[in-house]
Amino acid sequence: MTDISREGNQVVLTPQQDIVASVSAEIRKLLKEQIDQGCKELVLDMQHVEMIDSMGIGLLIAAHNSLNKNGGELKAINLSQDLMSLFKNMRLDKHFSVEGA
Amino acid sequence: MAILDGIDDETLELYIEESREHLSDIENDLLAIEDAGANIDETLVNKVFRAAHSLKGGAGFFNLTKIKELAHRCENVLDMIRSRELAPNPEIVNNLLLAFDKLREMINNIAASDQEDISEFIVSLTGLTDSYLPPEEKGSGERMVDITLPDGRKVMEVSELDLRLADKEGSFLYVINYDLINDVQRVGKTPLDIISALCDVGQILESTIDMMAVGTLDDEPSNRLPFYVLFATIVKPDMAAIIFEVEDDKVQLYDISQLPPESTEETADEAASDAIAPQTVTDKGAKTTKAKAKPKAKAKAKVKVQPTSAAAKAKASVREAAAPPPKPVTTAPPIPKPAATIPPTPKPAATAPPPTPAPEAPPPKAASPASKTPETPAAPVETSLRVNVAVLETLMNLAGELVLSRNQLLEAINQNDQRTIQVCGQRLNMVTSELQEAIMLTRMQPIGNIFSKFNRIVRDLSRALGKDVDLNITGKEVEMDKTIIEGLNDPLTHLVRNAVDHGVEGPEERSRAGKKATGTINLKAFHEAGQVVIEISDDGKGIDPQKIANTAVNKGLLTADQVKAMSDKERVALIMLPGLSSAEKVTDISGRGVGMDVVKTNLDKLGGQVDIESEMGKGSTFRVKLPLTLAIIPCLLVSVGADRYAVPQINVDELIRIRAAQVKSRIEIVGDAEVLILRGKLIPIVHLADMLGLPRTWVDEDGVRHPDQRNRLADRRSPEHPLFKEGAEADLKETKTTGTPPRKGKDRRHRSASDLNILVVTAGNFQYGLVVEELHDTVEIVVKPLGRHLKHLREYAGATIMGDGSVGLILDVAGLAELANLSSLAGSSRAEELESEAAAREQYQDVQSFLLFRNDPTEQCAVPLDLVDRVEQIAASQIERVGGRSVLQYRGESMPLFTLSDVAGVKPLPDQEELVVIVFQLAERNVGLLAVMPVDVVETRVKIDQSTLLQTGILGSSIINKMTTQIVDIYGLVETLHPEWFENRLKNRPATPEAAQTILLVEDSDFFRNQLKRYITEDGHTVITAEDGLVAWKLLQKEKGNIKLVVTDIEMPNMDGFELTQKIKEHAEYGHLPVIAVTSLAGDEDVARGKAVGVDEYQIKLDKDRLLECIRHFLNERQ
Repeated sequence: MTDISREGNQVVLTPQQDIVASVSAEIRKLLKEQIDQGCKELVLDMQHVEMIDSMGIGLLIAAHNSLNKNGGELKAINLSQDLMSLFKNMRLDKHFSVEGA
Repeated sequence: MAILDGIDDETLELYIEESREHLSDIENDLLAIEDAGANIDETLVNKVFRAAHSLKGGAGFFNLTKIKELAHRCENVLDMIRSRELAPNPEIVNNLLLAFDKLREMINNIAASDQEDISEFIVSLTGLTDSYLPPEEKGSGERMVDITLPDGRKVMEVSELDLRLADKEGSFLYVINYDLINDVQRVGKTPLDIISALCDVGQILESTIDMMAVGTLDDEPSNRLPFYVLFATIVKPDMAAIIFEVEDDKVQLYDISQLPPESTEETADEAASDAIAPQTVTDKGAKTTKAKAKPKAKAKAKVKVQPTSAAAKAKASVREAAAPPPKPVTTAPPIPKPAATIPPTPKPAATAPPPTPAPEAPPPKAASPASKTPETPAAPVETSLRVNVAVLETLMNLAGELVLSRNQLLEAINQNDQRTIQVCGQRLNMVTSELQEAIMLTRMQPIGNIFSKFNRIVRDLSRALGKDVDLNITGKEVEMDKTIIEGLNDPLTHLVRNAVDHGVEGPEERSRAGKKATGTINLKAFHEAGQVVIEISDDGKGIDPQKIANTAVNKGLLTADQVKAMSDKERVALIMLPGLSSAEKVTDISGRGVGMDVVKTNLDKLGGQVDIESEMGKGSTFRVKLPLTLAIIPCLLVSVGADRYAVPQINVDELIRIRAAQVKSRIEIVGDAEVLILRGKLIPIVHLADMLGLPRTWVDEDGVRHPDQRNRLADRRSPEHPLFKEGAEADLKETKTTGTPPRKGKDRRHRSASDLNILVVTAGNFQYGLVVEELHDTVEIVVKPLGRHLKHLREYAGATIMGDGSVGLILDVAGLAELANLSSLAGSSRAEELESEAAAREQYQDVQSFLLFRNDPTEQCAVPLDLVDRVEQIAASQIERVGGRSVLQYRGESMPLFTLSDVAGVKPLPDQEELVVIVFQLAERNVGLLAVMPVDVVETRVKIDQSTLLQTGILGSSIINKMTTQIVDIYGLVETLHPEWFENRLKNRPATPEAAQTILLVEDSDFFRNQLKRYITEDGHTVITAEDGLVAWKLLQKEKGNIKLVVTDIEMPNMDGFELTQKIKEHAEYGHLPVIAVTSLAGDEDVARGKAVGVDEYQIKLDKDRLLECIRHFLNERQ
């Protein structure tokens, strides 16, 4: 349900559906695996994501915190307009880098 | 007391009391915060924060500047902990603890608090906050405003301009506190829904999400995701919560009038540093230095947020009253939102270690609270009490009942109405009991009040001592009388400190002893049989009864004989003796000149008993038994003669009535004393009448009292006594001839009045039987102290008024025992101990390894493994017969072979191809013993029978693996066949002049003695032997200078190896003799003890080569 590709140090995860509570456990596991394997630059490609719920937000923050702890960073790319506005309004863009589509 | 002018004492009292309450909890909360580390428990931090806050508030009100200042600094640090800017580590918590200690001190002496010097604390606390200030990354020129929640927590910073702008537009400002999980997810919404909804009705000025509440991917998914929004909207406060779709209490109206007056852009900087800085000093004192050092730094104004409902109207009125702003904001240059307005990123707590001093607090710092703690909390004796209102109501009701009953009673007495008087009596009885209970309730307090402070004591103390100690507390909720709880403070503190100081070992010592490095102390309170039991147990090194006993003897408190008769338990209990401090060296922690005797005295005062259980190496348990209350205690009434006495129920273990006819079988005479046989235990008996100097009497069936002529309860002269069957007649005759006056009247033995009533009571650590004439009821009595003129009587603990109005004396069970010169009777527990010692010795029976083999498939034989050099499997065809002798080519030489049947009357070796050769090295050559399989090695503690199967070549037999096994004497075997081999032996050792090398071998086991003797003789020394230490000592004196070395066992009858060694080493003439101990006592303590008495070499049985090498070493050294 989530594509993974590697480019050098960068790992790009492309979830194929919305990041919501029902799939958060699965994505959580995936993120954790990548980070545990020493990934320092994690990119979330949101091209297929239309909606992120509270659990999803929590998940992203957790990922950010985990990476931050290891000296890595999180990037979200290809955000839809709605998501962009969500991230900005929540000031999440102050914590990790956010790019629109 | 100028500061307190105009404030009434009561208010101040209230403040002091409240502050103490706050402070009493703080300690544990702080410790819990420390334990939790970066993963803070917000409610806990908030609790401490609020405590500091209310201390500060009150102090401000009373103008107690120093208290206010210090509380304020604490508050700052706590604030940073709460906002996760500061991770609580031991250093921070330590500083806070010290500061709160100081606060407590100041509160306790409030009048002088302003004269206290608190600069040290201020500096350390300020240091903490300063080092964590977020870096100055923001450009100057823009005034930022902190947005805080009502509880004082800062959630974000916004540009003041934005606020004013929104205000100008006529918007209301709200701080909304969403929990994205509970308020959003749970109601089926997404954050986007919320934000879209907000954007529809207003403008999000700033928002922040609590990143740290989420944790990392490693944590469980958080069930909380706080999201704070500063929102500008025209929605009115009363509608706000509905529009924002959250509960009322999550929305706060922001009051812009709290902002300092607006100033021009140019002057903003200076104004900020001038006008705001002073405020900063008091408000965010921690930041003062920074603010001053960098005048250009953004100034901060702190604005409080008020709950919507209350603030709504205020705001409206403020609006009307507020003068129009001096300058239209629109003229202000539009301030681009710089990247610098990033809300302060909460630092991940874990990655932010303090740059200030080393994480471990320097020892003096840690030690200072340790030495202070016991006094500080104990100092203020509480003079007031908080009582549950419900209890007060009950009391009031009961008082009312009492009044009613009294009226009724008076009325009835006036009218002489017997029936009503009786009814009233019953009523009064009930009301009084209830009243008593209710009043007791008001005095009852949970023991947790004093337990909780031990967390701190243990923590500080263990840090100071470099130990690692966990304290487990159970039974905090157990309630006891307030006076008892107060009285318990000191003794318990002492016990707990002792446990940390003397009980628990340092981490290295613990790991050496195979324990986990962290010691554990359990503090436990529970109810047991109407009493409260408090246990303080540690898993430390235990108490050495011998050491205690020695100290007692050395200090002249007891004689050696007295100590000898004591059981270990009694010896351990000696630490309660006045003047005996068990600490070898006095530490400033617990050996402060006062010892355990103080603990005992204090507990005695409370009617408590201490019981000590200790096992060397395993730990000690101090068990304190206490009554629930002191004022009213249940007692058993007994009587001797015409007088009744009360015995506290707490001391009474059981009541025994012995029928007159059974007296002889139940009571024995040991030495000079009578003892009661109770379930196999011997319990000394004391006659109460004797102790009180009353005549012993008995009451006949007519109720007439007669003097009792029996001096002994168990009269051995009776012919019926089973023990005296044989000599009975002689005795009987003697009785008759000596003319004991014949008994008058009938045999009293068959009447119940002659039965013996015995109270088995516990006094301290032992039991005894108290013979009384009659047993009565158990009643609750009110304890009254004895008058001064009777105070010195040790047999009485107090007095009381009996139901009939007469005075009754309360017996002091321990005092009676002392008067009777009872310690636990020699024989009872001591005997048990001896028995178990004997059992233990059985275990110590020397372990020997044997090589098992068969001479014949049915005949099991064994040789001590130490003698065996090798075991080789050979074929019968390899054996060569040369000159009538069997030899085997072995390592390039011809090794002579023997069989057991060569000398001993055993079956010949079976004729089979596969054989085993056991190779020995003796008489300086290899010899082989032929045997058959199977061959095995056993390690066993066997008793060797040295007579039944003794013959040449066999030195005894034993049962090994359920088979009778012959122990082969290989020396004897070879010597019998080749005596000439051994004759040369000594000549081959020219280096050792024979006579000079006599060795004294002390060993109680014949087997080992013979074996050792052989080894040593074989090695070329002369050996004289002794069966025990005593014999050895005599031999030593007889042989005088001949003996050059002593080899001794440890476990021996009469005189053991330790004692022997000690004697030798202390003797002027023999002191130089080397002593080698060869024993199976392999415990560390044993080795240590051996070294202590002067053993030169301690060897575990039995390594032949090492022993011989050691002997040679010592002898050569001597030469």
